[in-house]
Amino acid sequence: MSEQRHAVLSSGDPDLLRVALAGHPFCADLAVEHVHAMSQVTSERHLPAGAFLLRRGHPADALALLLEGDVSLELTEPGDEPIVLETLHGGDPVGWSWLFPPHRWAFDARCLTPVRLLQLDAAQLRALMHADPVFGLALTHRIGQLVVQRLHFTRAQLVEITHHDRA
Amino acid sequence: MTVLDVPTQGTLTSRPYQITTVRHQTHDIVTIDVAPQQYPIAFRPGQFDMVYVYGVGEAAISISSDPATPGLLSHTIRAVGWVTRALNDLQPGTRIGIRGPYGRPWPLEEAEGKDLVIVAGGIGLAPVRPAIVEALRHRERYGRVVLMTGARSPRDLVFRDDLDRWHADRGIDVHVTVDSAVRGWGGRVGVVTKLIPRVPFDPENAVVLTCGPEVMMWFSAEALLKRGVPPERIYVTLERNMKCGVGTCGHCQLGPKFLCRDGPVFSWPEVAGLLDVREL
Repeated sequence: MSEQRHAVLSSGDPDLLRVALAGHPFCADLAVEHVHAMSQVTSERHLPAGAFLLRRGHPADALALLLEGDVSLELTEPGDEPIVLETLHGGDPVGWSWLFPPHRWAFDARCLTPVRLLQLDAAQLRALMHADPVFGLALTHRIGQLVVQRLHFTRAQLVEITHHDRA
Repeated sequence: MTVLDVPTQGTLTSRPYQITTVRHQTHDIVTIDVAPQQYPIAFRPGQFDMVYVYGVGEAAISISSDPATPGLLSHTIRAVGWVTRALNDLQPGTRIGIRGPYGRPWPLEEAEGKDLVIVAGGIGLAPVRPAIVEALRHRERYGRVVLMTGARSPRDLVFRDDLDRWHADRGIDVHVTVDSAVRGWGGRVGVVTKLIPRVPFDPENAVVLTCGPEVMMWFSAEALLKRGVPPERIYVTLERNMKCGVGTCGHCQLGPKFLCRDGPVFSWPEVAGLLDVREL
Protein backbone atom coordinates (compact mmCIF):
# COMPACT_ATOMS: atom_id res chain seq x y z
CA MET A 1 0.00 0.00 0.00
CA SER A 2 3.01 2.23 -0.37
CA GLU A 3 1.71 4.00 -3.49
CA GLN A 4 -0.06 6.63 -1.48
CA ARG A 5 -0.18 9.49 -3.93
CA HIS A 6 -3.24 8.19 -5.79
CA ALA A 7 -5.06 7.13 -2.72
CA VAL A 8 -7.86 8.80 -0.87
CA LEU A 9 -7.76 7.54 2.67
CA SER A 10 -10.61 7.89 5.07
CA SER A 11 -10.94 6.57 8.58
CA GLY A 12 -14.71 6.82 8.04
CA ASP A 13 -17.59 6.19 10.38
CA PRO A 14 -16.64 3.26 12.69
CA ASP A 15 -20.15 1.85 12.55
CA LEU A 16 -20.25 1.98 8.76
CA LEU A 17 -16.80 0.37 8.58
CA ARG A 18 -17.98 -2.39 10.91
CA VAL A 19 -21.04 -3.01 8.74
CA ALA A 20 -18.93 -3.02 5.58
CA LEU A 21 -16.47 -5.46 7.15
CA ALA A 22 -19.23 -7.74 8.41
CA GLY A 23 -20.75 -7.81 4.92
CA HIS A 24 -17.51 -8.70 3.16
CA PRO A 25 -17.25 -12.39 2.15
CA PHE A 26 -13.80 -12.62 3.79
CA CYS A 27 -15.42 -11.91 7.16
CA ALA A 28 -18.42 -14.20 6.69
CA ASP A 29 -19.26 -16.05 9.95
CA LEU A 30 -16.53 -14.30 11.94
CA ALA A 31 -17.53 -13.61 15.54
CA VAL A 32 -19.04 -10.16 16.11
CA GLU A 33 -16.29 -9.22 18.56
CA HIS A 34 -13.63 -10.18 16.01
CA VAL A 35 -15.23 -8.03 13.33
CA HIS A 36 -15.41 -5.23 15.86
CA ALA A 37 -11.70 -5.62 16.65
CA MET A 38 -10.83 -5.58 12.94
CA SER A 39 -12.86 -2.44 12.39
CA GLN A 40 -10.57 -0.61 14.82
CA VAL A 41 -7.67 -0.97 12.38
CA THR A 42 -9.69 -0.45 9.18
CA SER A 43 -10.06 2.49 6.89
CA GLU A 44 -11.84 2.90 3.58
CA ARG A 45 -9.76 3.67 0.52
CA HIS A 46 -10.57 4.77 -3.01
CA LEU A 47 -8.20 4.32 -5.94
CA PRO A 48 -8.57 5.49 -9.52
CA ALA A 49 -8.21 3.20 -12.54
CA GLY A 50 -4.54 2.63 -13.34
CA ALA A 51 -3.30 3.16 -9.79
CA PHE A 52 -1.18 0.51 -8.13
CA LEU A 53 -2.70 -1.03 -5.06
CA LEU A 54 0.57 -2.76 -4.25
CA ARG A 55 4.01 -3.20 -5.82
CA ARG A 56 6.27 -6.21 -5.83
CA GLY A 57 9.03 -5.95 -3.23
CA HIS A 58 7.34 -3.15 -1.31
CA PRO A 59 6.36 -3.66 2.33
CA ALA A 60 3.17 -5.70 2.72
CA ASP A 61 1.71 -3.38 5.29
CA ALA A 62 -2.02 -3.92 4.86
CA LEU A 63 -4.75 -6.42 4.09
CA ALA A 64 -7.06 -5.10 1.37
CA LEU A 65 -10.66 -6.28 1.06
CA LEU A 66 -12.14 -5.19 -2.27
CA LEU A 67 -15.62 -3.74 -2.09
CA GLU A 68 -16.02 -2.53 -5.67
CA GLY A 69 -13.91 -2.53 -8.79
CA ASP A 70 -11.45 -4.79 -10.60
CA VAL A 71 -7.76 -5.33 -9.83
CA SER A 72 -5.17 -7.29 -11.84
CA LEU A 73 -2.33 -9.21 -10.22
CA GLU A 74 0.66 -8.73 -12.48
CA LEU A 75 4.20 -9.94 -12.86
CA THR A 76 6.57 -7.77 -14.83
CA GLU A 77 10.05 -8.20 -16.18
CA PRO A 78 11.89 -4.98 -17.01
CA GLY A 79 11.17 -3.91 -20.56
CA ASP A 80 8.34 -6.43 -21.06
CA GLU A 81 4.60 -6.13 -20.97
CA PRO A 82 3.22 -7.22 -17.60
CA ILE A 83 1.73 -10.70 -17.45
CA VAL A 84 -1.70 -10.67 -15.84
CA LEU A 85 -1.82 -13.68 -13.52
CA GLU A 86 -5.31 -13.20 -12.22
CA THR A 87 -7.97 -10.55 -11.81
CA LEU A 88 -9.66 -9.87 -8.48
CA HIS A 89 -13.03 -8.24 -8.01
CA GLY A 90 -15.41 -6.83 -5.43
CA GLY A 91 -15.69 -9.37 -2.60
CA ASP A 92 -12.11 -10.63 -2.98
CA PRO A 93 -9.30 -10.16 -0.45
CA VAL A 94 -5.94 -9.12 -1.87
CA GLY A 95 -2.80 -10.88 -0.73
CA TRP A 96 -1.48 -12.69 2.30
CA SER A 97 2.13 -11.46 2.35
CA TRP A 98 1.18 -9.11 5.18
CA LEU A 99 0.85 -12.16 7.46
CA PHE A 100 4.12 -13.94 6.72
CA PRO A 101 7.71 -12.68 6.97
CA PRO A 102 9.41 -10.95 5.25
CA HIS A 103 6.12 -9.03 4.77
CA ARG A 104 6.89 -7.99 1.19
CA TRP A 105 4.50 -8.19 -1.77
CA ALA A 106 5.31 -10.84 -4.38
CA PHE A 107 3.33 -9.25 -7.25
CA ASP A 108 2.04 -5.94 -8.50
CA ALA A 109 -1.67 -5.24 -8.14
CA ARG A 110 -3.09 -2.58 -10.46
CA CYS A 111 -6.59 -1.13 -10.56
CA LEU A 112 -8.38 -1.84 -13.84
CA THR A 113 -11.32 0.33 -12.79
CA PRO A 114 -11.94 2.76 -9.94
CA VAL A 115 -11.65 0.68 -6.79
CA ARG A 116 -13.19 1.01 -3.36
CA LEU A 117 -11.71 -1.16 -0.63
CA LEU A 118 -11.30 -1.68 3.07
CA GLN A 119 -7.69 -1.41 4.19
CA LEU A 120 -6.62 -3.10 7.43
CA ASP A 121 -3.31 -2.06 8.92
CA ALA A 122 -1.13 -5.18 8.94
CA ALA A 123 1.00 -4.43 12.00
CA GLN A 124 -2.05 -3.68 14.12
CA LEU A 125 -3.91 -6.66 12.74
CA ARG A 126 -1.02 -8.99 13.59
CA ALA A 127 -0.87 -7.50 17.08
CA LEU A 128 -4.58 -8.24 17.53
CA MET A 129 -4.02 -11.83 16.35
CA HIS A 130 -1.20 -12.32 18.88
CA ALA A 131 -3.22 -10.76 21.68
CA ASP A 132 -6.28 -12.97 21.04
CA PRO A 133 -5.27 -16.49 19.90
CA VAL A 134 -8.89 -17.41 19.09
CA PHE A 135 -9.10 -14.47 16.71
CA GLY A 136 -5.58 -15.26 15.48
CA LEU A 137 -6.56 -18.83 14.68
CA ALA A 138 -9.79 -17.74 12.97
CA LEU A 139 -7.98 -15.29 10.71
CA THR A 140 -5.07 -17.66 9.99
CA HIS A 141 -7.57 -20.36 9.07
CA ARG A 142 -9.30 -17.92 6.71
CA ILE A 143 -6.03 -16.96 5.04
CA GLY A 144 -5.16 -20.67 4.80
CA GLN A 145 -8.43 -21.31 2.97
CA LEU A 146 -7.65 -18.43 0.64
CA VAL A 147 -4.20 -19.85 -0.13
CA VAL A 148 -5.63 -23.32 -0.76
CA GLN A 149 -8.33 -21.92 -3.05
CA ARG A 150 -5.82 -19.87 -5.06
CA LEU A 151 -3.51 -22.90 -5.30
CA HIS A 152 -6.45 -24.95 -6.55
CA PHE A 153 -7.25 -22.38 -9.23
CA THR A 154 -3.59 -22.04 -10.17
CA ARG A 155 -3.28 -25.81 -10.66
CA ALA A 156 -6.40 -25.80 -12.83
CA GLN A 157 -4.95 -22.88 -14.78
CA LEU A 158 -1.68 -24.77 -15.28
CA VAL A 159 -3.46 -27.89 -16.49
CA GLU A 160 -5.56 -25.91 -18.94
CA ILE A 161 -2.55 -24.03 -20.30
CA THR A 162 -0.07 -26.89 -20.49
CA HIS A 163 -2.49 -29.68 -21.52
CA HIS A 164 -4.40 -27.60 -24.05
CA ASP A 165 -3.78 -30.06 -26.88
CA ARG A 166 -5.25 -32.98 -24.95
CA ALA A 167 -8.59 -31.25 -24.58
CA MET B 1 -36.82 -31.27 -49.67
CA THR B 2 -38.35 -30.99 -46.23
CA VAL B 3 -36.26 -31.42 -43.12
CA LEU B 4 -36.46 -35.00 -42.05
CA ASP B 5 -34.83 -37.63 -40.03
CA VAL B 6 -32.61 -38.54 -42.93
CA PRO B 7 -31.86 -42.17 -43.67
CA THR B 8 -28.27 -41.76 -42.50
CA GLN B 9 -29.24 -41.10 -38.90
CA GLY B 10 -28.06 -43.81 -36.58
CA THR B 11 -26.44 -45.71 -39.41
CA LEU B 12 -22.90 -46.05 -40.72
CA THR B 13 -23.67 -44.48 -44.10
CA SER B 14 -21.78 -41.30 -44.87
CA ARG B 15 -23.29 -38.72 -47.28
CA PRO B 16 -21.35 -36.18 -49.34
CA TYR B 17 -21.57 -32.48 -48.54
CA GLN B 18 -19.82 -29.48 -50.02
CA ILE B 19 -18.13 -26.94 -47.79
CA THR B 20 -19.60 -23.49 -48.32
CA THR B 21 -17.65 -21.45 -45.79
CA VAL B 22 -14.55 -21.85 -43.63
CA ARG B 23 -14.41 -19.41 -40.72
CA HIS B 24 -11.17 -19.17 -38.77
CA GLN B 25 -12.05 -18.85 -35.10
CA THR B 26 -8.48 -18.90 -33.75
CA HIS B 27 -5.02 -19.91 -35.00
CA ASP B 28 -5.95 -23.61 -34.68
CA ILE B 29 -9.77 -23.69 -34.68
CA VAL B 30 -12.05 -23.35 -37.70
CA THR B 31 -15.78 -23.56 -38.21
CA ILE B 32 -16.75 -25.36 -41.40
CA ASP B 33 -20.21 -24.74 -42.83
CA VAL B 34 -21.92 -27.06 -45.26
CA ALA B 35 -25.24 -26.40 -46.96
CA PRO B 36 -27.01 -29.73 -46.84
CA GLN B 37 -29.50 -29.08 -49.66
CA GLN B 38 -29.78 -32.71 -50.66
CA TYR B 39 -29.54 -34.35 -47.24
CA PRO B 40 -30.69 -31.87 -44.58
CA ILE B 41 -29.81 -33.04 -41.10
CA ALA B 42 -32.21 -32.47 -38.22
CA PHE B 43 -30.31 -32.51 -34.96
CA ARG B 44 -30.72 -31.58 -31.33
CA PRO B 45 -28.28 -29.42 -29.33
CA GLY B 46 -25.39 -31.50 -28.02
CA GLN B 47 -25.40 -34.14 -30.75
CA PHE B 48 -22.39 -34.86 -32.94
CA ASP B 49 -21.58 -36.04 -36.46
CA MET B 50 -18.85 -38.27 -37.81
CA VAL B 51 -17.05 -36.06 -40.34
CA TYR B 52 -15.06 -37.81 -43.05
CA VAL B 53 -12.14 -36.29 -44.95
CA TYR B 54 -11.87 -38.51 -47.99
CA GLY B 55 -8.58 -40.35 -48.05
CA VAL B 56 -7.65 -39.29 -44.53
CA GLY B 57 -10.26 -40.53 -42.08
CA GLU B 58 -13.18 -39.71 -39.81
CA ALA B 59 -13.51 -37.71 -36.61
CA ALA B 60 -16.40 -37.13 -34.23
CA ILE B 61 -17.28 -33.43 -34.28
CA SER B 62 -20.04 -31.71 -32.32
CA ILE B 63 -22.55 -29.72 -34.31
CA SER B 64 -22.24 -26.00 -33.53
CA SER B 65 -24.95 -24.48 -35.71
CA ASP B 66 -28.54 -23.46 -35.01
CA PRO B 67 -30.78 -26.53 -34.83
CA ALA B 68 -33.64 -24.50 -36.30
CA THR B 69 -31.64 -23.86 -39.47
CA PRO B 70 -31.01 -27.31 -40.93
CA GLY B 71 -30.06 -25.63 -44.22
CA LEU B 72 -26.80 -24.63 -42.59
CA LEU B 73 -24.77 -27.21 -40.74
CA SER B 74 -21.61 -26.15 -38.90
CA HIS B 75 -18.82 -28.06 -37.21
CA THR B 76 -16.13 -26.34 -35.18
CA ILE B 77 -12.82 -28.14 -35.18
CA ARG B 78 -9.48 -27.73 -33.47
CA ALA B 79 -6.43 -29.14 -35.24
CA VAL B 80 -5.04 -31.81 -32.92
CA GLY B 81 -4.81 -35.01 -35.01
CA TRP B 82 -4.49 -36.17 -38.62
CA VAL B 83 -8.17 -35.77 -39.51
CA THR B 84 -8.77 -32.52 -37.67
CA ARG B 85 -5.58 -31.01 -39.15
CA ALA B 86 -6.83 -32.00 -42.60
CA LEU B 87 -10.24 -30.47 -41.81
CA ASN B 88 -8.54 -27.23 -40.76
CA ASP B 89 -6.82 -27.03 -44.14
CA LEU B 90 -9.94 -27.55 -46.30
CA GLN B 91 -11.25 -24.81 -48.55
CA PRO B 92 -14.79 -23.86 -49.61
CA GLY B 93 -15.96 -26.10 -52.41
CA THR B 94 -14.28 -29.22 -51.00
CA ARG B 95 -16.50 -32.27 -50.51
CA ILE B 96 -16.54 -34.06 -47.18
CA GLY B 97 -18.60 -36.96 -45.85
CA ILE B 98 -20.93 -36.62 -42.89
CA ARG B 99 -22.97 -39.20 -41.03
CA GLY B 100 -25.13 -38.57 -38.05
CA PRO B 101 -26.38 -36.96 -35.94
CA TYR B 102 -25.53 -39.23 -33.04
CA GLY B 103 -25.78 -39.23 -29.30
CA ARG B 104 -27.87 -38.03 -26.42
CA PRO B 105 -28.56 -34.26 -26.53
CA TRP B 106 -28.50 -31.64 -23.80
CA PRO B 107 -31.60 -31.89 -21.54
CA LEU B 108 -33.06 -28.49 -22.39
CA GLU B 109 -36.58 -29.66 -21.51
CA GLU B 110 -35.44 -30.40 -17.95
CA ALA B 111 -34.17 -26.82 -17.65
CA GLU B 112 -37.55 -25.30 -18.49
CA GLY B 113 -38.84 -23.29 -15.54
CA LYS B 114 -35.34 -23.26 -14.04
CA ASP B 115 -32.15 -21.26 -14.41
CA LEU B 116 -30.09 -22.54 -17.32
CA VAL B 117 -26.38 -22.27 -16.54
CA ILE B 118 -23.68 -23.07 -19.08
CA VAL B 119 -20.00 -23.50 -18.25
CA ALA B 120 -17.71 -23.86 -21.27
CA GLY B 121 -13.95 -24.05 -21.61
CA GLY B 122 -12.16 -23.27 -24.88
CA ILE B 123 -13.65 -25.07 -27.86
CA GLY B 124 -16.18 -26.51 -25.41
CA LEU B 125 -18.34 -23.53 -26.36
CA ALA B 126 -19.05 -25.22 -29.71
CA PRO B 127 -21.19 -28.14 -28.43
CA VAL B 128 -23.22 -25.83 -26.16
CA ARG B 129 -23.70 -23.09 -28.77
CA PRO B 130 -26.82 -24.77 -30.29
CA ALA B 131 -28.29 -25.04 -26.78
CA ILE B 132 -27.68 -21.33 -26.15
CA VAL B 133 -29.24 -20.37 -29.49
CA GLU B 134 -32.22 -22.63 -28.80
CA ALA B 135 -32.68 -21.27 -25.26
CA LEU B 136 -32.56 -17.67 -26.46
CA ARG B 137 -35.16 -18.48 -29.14
CA HIS B 138 -37.48 -19.77 -26.39
CA ARG B 139 -36.25 -17.37 -23.71
CA GLU B 140 -39.59 -17.34 -21.86
CA ARG B 141 -39.19 -21.00 -20.93
CA TYR B 142 -36.25 -20.41 -18.60
CA GLY B 143 -35.35 -18.38 -15.54
CA ARG B 144 -31.90 -16.85 -15.72
CA VAL B 145 -29.76 -17.95 -18.67
CA VAL B 146 -26.09 -17.69 -17.71
CA LEU B 147 -22.97 -18.41 -19.74
CA MET B 148 -19.55 -18.70 -18.10
CA THR B 149 -16.85 -19.31 -20.65
CA GLY B 150 -13.09 -19.30 -20.58
CA ALA B 151 -10.14 -19.80 -22.87
CA ARG B 152 -6.41 -20.20 -22.55
CA SER B 153 -5.81 -16.63 -23.73
CA PRO B 154 -7.82 -13.88 -25.46
CA ARG B 155 -6.64 -15.15 -28.87
CA ASP B 156 -8.07 -18.60 -28.04
CA LEU B 157 -11.63 -17.35 -27.51
CA VAL B 158 -14.05 -18.84 -30.03
CA PHE B 159 -17.34 -17.43 -31.33
CA ARG B 160 -16.30 -13.88 -30.45
CA ASP B 161 -19.06 -12.39 -32.61
CA ASP B 162 -21.61 -14.45 -30.71
CA LEU B 163 -20.10 -13.44 -27.37
CA ASP B 164 -20.30 -9.76 -28.35
CA ARG B 165 -23.90 -10.19 -29.51
CA TRP B 166 -24.89 -12.15 -26.41
CA HIS B 167 -23.20 -9.53 -24.21
CA ALA B 168 -25.54 -6.97 -25.72
CA ASP B 169 -28.53 -9.30 -25.32
CA ARG B 170 -30.27 -8.80 -22.00
CA GLY B 171 -31.65 -12.32 -22.17
CA ILE B 172 -28.34 -13.96 -21.28
CA ASP B 173 -25.78 -13.14 -18.63
CA VAL B 174 -22.34 -13.65 -20.19
CA HIS B 175 -19.11 -13.96 -18.19
CA VAL B 176 -15.81 -14.40 -20.03
CA THR B 177 -12.41 -15.14 -18.54
CA VAL B 178 -9.00 -16.24 -19.82
CA ASP B 179 -6.23 -18.23 -18.16
CA SER B 180 -3.47 -15.90 -19.20
CA ALA B 181 -3.28 -12.39 -20.63
CA VAL B 182 -1.03 -9.43 -21.10
CA ARG B 183 -2.04 -5.82 -20.65
CA GLY B 184 -4.60 -4.78 -23.23
CA TRP B 185 -7.09 -7.48 -22.28
CA GLY B 186 -9.67 -5.65 -20.22
CA GLY B 187 -11.57 -8.69 -18.99
CA ARG B 188 -11.19 -11.25 -16.26
CA VAL B 189 -8.12 -13.46 -15.84
CA GLY B 190 -8.45 -16.79 -14.06
CA VAL B 191 -9.99 -20.20 -14.59
CA VAL B 192 -13.64 -20.37 -15.58
CA THR B 193 -14.45 -22.38 -12.46
CA LYS B 194 -13.53 -19.32 -10.37
CA LEU B 195 -16.66 -17.63 -11.70
CA ILE B 196 -19.02 -20.30 -10.37
CA PRO B 197 -19.19 -19.19 -6.71
CA ARG B 198 -20.06 -15.58 -7.54
CA VAL B 199 -22.21 -15.46 -10.68
CA PRO B 200 -25.90 -14.90 -9.84
CA PHE B 201 -28.18 -17.92 -10.32
CA ASP B 202 -30.31 -20.11 -8.09
CA PRO B 203 -28.25 -23.27 -7.49
CA GLU B 204 -31.18 -25.22 -6.10
CA ASN B 205 -33.28 -24.49 -9.16
CA ALA B 206 -30.76 -24.67 -11.97
CA VAL B 207 -29.71 -27.08 -14.69
CA VAL B 208 -26.05 -26.77 -15.61
CA LEU B 209 -24.45 -27.79 -18.90
CA THR B 210 -20.66 -28.03 -18.84
CA CYS B 211 -18.31 -28.68 -21.72
CA GLY B 212 -14.56 -28.50 -21.94
CA PRO B 213 -11.49 -30.53 -21.02
CA GLU B 214 -12.34 -33.31 -18.55
CA VAL B 215 -10.20 -31.71 -15.85
CA MET B 216 -12.06 -28.44 -16.27
CA MET B 217 -15.43 -30.21 -16.06
CA TRP B 218 -14.28 -32.03 -12.91
CA PHE B 219 -13.27 -28.73 -11.29
CA SER B 220 -16.54 -27.17 -12.47
CA ALA B 221 -18.62 -29.98 -10.98
CA GLU B 222 -16.78 -29.62 -7.67
CA ALA B 223 -17.50 -25.87 -7.60
CA LEU B 224 -21.13 -26.39 -8.63
CA LEU B 225 -21.70 -29.01 -5.94
CA LYS B 226 -20.12 -26.70 -3.37
CA ARG B 227 -22.46 -23.93 -4.57
CA GLY B 228 -25.43 -26.24 -3.91
CA VAL B 229 -26.42 -27.48 -7.37
CA PRO B 230 -27.92 -30.99 -7.08
CA PRO B 231 -25.52 -33.47 -8.74
CA GLU B 232 -28.22 -34.91 -11.01
CA ARG B 233 -28.77 -31.46 -12.52
CA ILE B 234 -25.12 -31.09 -13.59
CA TYR B 235 -24.51 -32.35 -17.13
CA VAL B 236 -21.19 -32.91 -18.88
CA THR B 237 -20.35 -33.98 -22.41
CA LEU B 238 -17.53 -36.43 -22.92
CA GLU B 239 -15.41 -37.17 -25.98
CA ARG B 240 -13.15 -40.15 -26.16
CA ASN B 241 -11.88 -41.49 -29.49
CA MET B 242 -15.26 -42.18 -31.07
CA LYS B 243 -15.12 -44.36 -34.18
CA CYS B 244 -18.39 -46.00 -35.16
CA GLY B 245 -20.74 -43.51 -33.50
CA VAL B 246 -23.38 -46.15 -32.85
CA GLY B 247 -22.05 -48.10 -29.86
CA THR B 248 -20.66 -51.05 -31.76
CA CYS B 249 -16.88 -50.80 -31.95
CA GLY B 250 -16.07 -50.00 -28.32
CA HIS B 251 -13.36 -47.42 -29.05
CA CYS B 252 -15.08 -44.79 -26.91
CA GLN B 253 -15.82 -47.09 -24.01
CA LEU B 254 -15.50 -45.56 -20.53
CA GLY B 255 -16.14 -48.36 -18.07
CA PRO B 256 -19.68 -49.60 -18.75
CA LYS B 257 -20.51 -46.63 -20.99
CA PHE B 258 -20.16 -46.25 -24.74
CA LEU B 259 -19.84 -42.49 -24.99
CA CYS B 260 -21.16 -42.27 -28.55
CA ARG B 261 -24.32 -44.26 -27.80
CA ASP B 262 -24.97 -43.60 -24.09
CA GLY B 263 -23.68 -40.00 -24.29
CA PRO B 264 -21.95 -37.81 -25.16
CA VAL B 265 -24.10 -35.93 -22.63
CA PHE B 266 -24.21 -37.49 -19.15
CA SER B 267 -25.48 -36.37 -15.79
CA TRP B 268 -22.70 -35.99 -13.24
CA PRO B 269 -23.71 -39.01 -11.10
CA GLU B 270 -23.54 -41.23 -14.21
CA VAL B 271 -19.85 -40.55 -14.83
CA ALA B 272 -18.34 -38.92 -11.73
CA GLY B 273 -16.98 -42.21 -10.41
CA LEU B 274 -15.61 -43.19 -13.81
CA LEU B 275 -13.59 -40.01 -14.25
CA ASP B 276 -11.63 -40.85 -11.11
CA VAL B 277 -10.49 -44.26 -12.37
CA ARG B 278 -6.95 -43.93 -13.68
CA GLU B 279 -7.07 -47.22 -15.61
CA LEU B 280 -10.02 -46.09 -17.75
